[in-house]
Amino acid sequence: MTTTTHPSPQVRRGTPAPGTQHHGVLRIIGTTLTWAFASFNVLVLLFMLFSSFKTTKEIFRAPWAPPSSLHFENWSQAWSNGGFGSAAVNTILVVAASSVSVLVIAAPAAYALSRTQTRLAGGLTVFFTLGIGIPTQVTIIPIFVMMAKVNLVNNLFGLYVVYTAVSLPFTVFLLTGFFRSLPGRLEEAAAIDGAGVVRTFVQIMLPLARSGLVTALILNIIGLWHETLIALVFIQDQDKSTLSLSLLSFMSTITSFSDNPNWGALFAGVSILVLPMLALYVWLGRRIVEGITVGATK
Amino acid sequence: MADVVFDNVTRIYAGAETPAVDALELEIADGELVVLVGPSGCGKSTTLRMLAGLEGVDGGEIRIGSHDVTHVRPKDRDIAMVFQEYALYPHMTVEQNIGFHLKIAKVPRTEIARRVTEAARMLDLTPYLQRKPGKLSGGQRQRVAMGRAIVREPQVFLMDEPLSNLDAKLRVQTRTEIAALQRRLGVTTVYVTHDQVEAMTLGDRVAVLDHGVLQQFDRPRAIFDRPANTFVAGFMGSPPMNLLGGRLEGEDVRVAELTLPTTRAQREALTSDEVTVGVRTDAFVPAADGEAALNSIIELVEDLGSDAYAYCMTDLGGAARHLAVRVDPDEVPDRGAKLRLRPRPGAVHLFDGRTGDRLPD
Repeated sequence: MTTTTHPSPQVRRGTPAPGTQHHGVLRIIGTTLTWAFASFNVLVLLFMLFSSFKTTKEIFRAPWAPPSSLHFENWSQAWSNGGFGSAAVNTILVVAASSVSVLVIAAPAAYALSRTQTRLAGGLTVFFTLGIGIPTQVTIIPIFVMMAKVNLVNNLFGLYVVYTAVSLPFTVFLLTGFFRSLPGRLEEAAAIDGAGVVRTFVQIMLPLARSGLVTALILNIIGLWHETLIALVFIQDQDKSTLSLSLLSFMSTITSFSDNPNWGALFAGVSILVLPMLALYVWLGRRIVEGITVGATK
Repeated sequence: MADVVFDNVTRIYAGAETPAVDALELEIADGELVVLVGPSGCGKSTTLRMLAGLEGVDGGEIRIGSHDVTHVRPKDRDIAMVFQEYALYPHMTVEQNIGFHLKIAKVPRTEIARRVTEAARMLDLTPYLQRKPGKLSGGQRQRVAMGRAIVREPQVFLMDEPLSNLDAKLRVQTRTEIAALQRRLGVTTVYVTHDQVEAMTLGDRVAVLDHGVLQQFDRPRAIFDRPANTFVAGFMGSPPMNLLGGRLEGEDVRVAELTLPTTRAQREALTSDEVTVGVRTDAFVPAADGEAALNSIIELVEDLGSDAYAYCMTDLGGAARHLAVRVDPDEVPDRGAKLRLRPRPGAVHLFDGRTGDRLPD
């Protein structure tokens, strides 16, 4: 028996459509910029990781070289002295609770806004969108005063409430666009099948909006994980601090109270903050792109 | 099972000047398959969506059986609908899609399983029950949409262009399957299409709509043989009927050299001396030498094997006009050939030239 061999897909490159192979100046500039940007970010990341395993002396002697030996004590020092242990638990709790709560509130709101054609709904959509444009720095003092009145300052629950509130505008905005892109025919089919509004939302539209919901969830987790300003204003006690606050205080301890600051430990601290998000991004990054570009085709 | 009545039903969209559906009167008998047909924007889909309860009714009354459903919610109308894009729930399996209504209606699980299995068997969907719609071909999706409707055992089936997303061959096959299924189940069905061939082949009766107004409601053959006006004459039939402008001279209608006799009743019904003469493509015969004829030159020939049509340019006393003529498929004439044509006596349709209405026979 004879077998015919086909060239493997990697070898055989299909003929591109006419005109698409044109290497214009713009294309060259664009490709160069993209690669430059990507390499810069990878280098910064490598620099951070390398430095976290080096002694301070080695960091200054050969900043770009890989560590000659792995100083794991940098990491243990950051974890124990910097208070990263309890801060990690606080952060995970607050960020997880806020990101989920935001979705629970924003998804029904966005669905209603995307499907209601009244003037009120239009106004509300604009209202939510305006929320994105107002910087936190402007509203943080009034929010602090309000929260102080209800005794929710220096309190992780208070931080959770504020995080949930400030994340709502963007999430509602993102999900409104997403729900708008879902076909209305399905709701009509559900109406004829006898499903009410709530059942249609929960059993038909929510499952379809899964990639949008995942996108919103990840973007919120990443945003809140790194959030520093609000936490700095609202949290005073060490045992209630979040990872970004711990890093901040760890940095000031290392740099101001020591003649011989351990920069390696500081980089280990930064890595503790950054690496979980990097892992999340590597794991779910494709989903984010899918969620953001939905509706771009078709 | 029930009859369906549209009693003076009107729909006006917000901001629109003219109604999308204007004072529609339709009485659909129990078990009948009625096709609503017309060009885009004629109001056929709006009519169906009003019957489904997906669209408000601005005037008049819709009744299913003895119930006035004008303002009743879709789920309480006891209807099932097949959508043009099928509108299957993409995250549910075929089985869940078909059984969704029964589950909501709290039908016992064993009964749901029995009815879904029965519908799947009827539609050859049994091997696909655990698949999701994304993994099905267009034809299979269409059958799932049918299954979702059948399993409900409703009073009325509503079908909104259910075949328009299928390729030509599958469309013809599915058309006959739908017709057979509807006859077997005996459920009153309202079927919307823009395809006049579908309308002619499927409908017990056909309602032709244009600009929201019902033009004619009759059996397919009657619509073909006696179109109520020039719109119906030009819309139904492929290629459409040739409509030629003529003028009443004495007791005859004159079109170029041709003279066609009229009856007294026809002359009395005319609002002016302008008459539109309609001739089907197969109603032309070659004129003998010396006989009055339409002198035509063939511009294009469509040879379909069993049928052949010649598209000609004809001189109508100074004004050139296109004519479509069925020719013998075994002796197809060449492009550029000259034909001398006259309509077969008795195969001519006369319409009022001003109003477009058919003149009495």
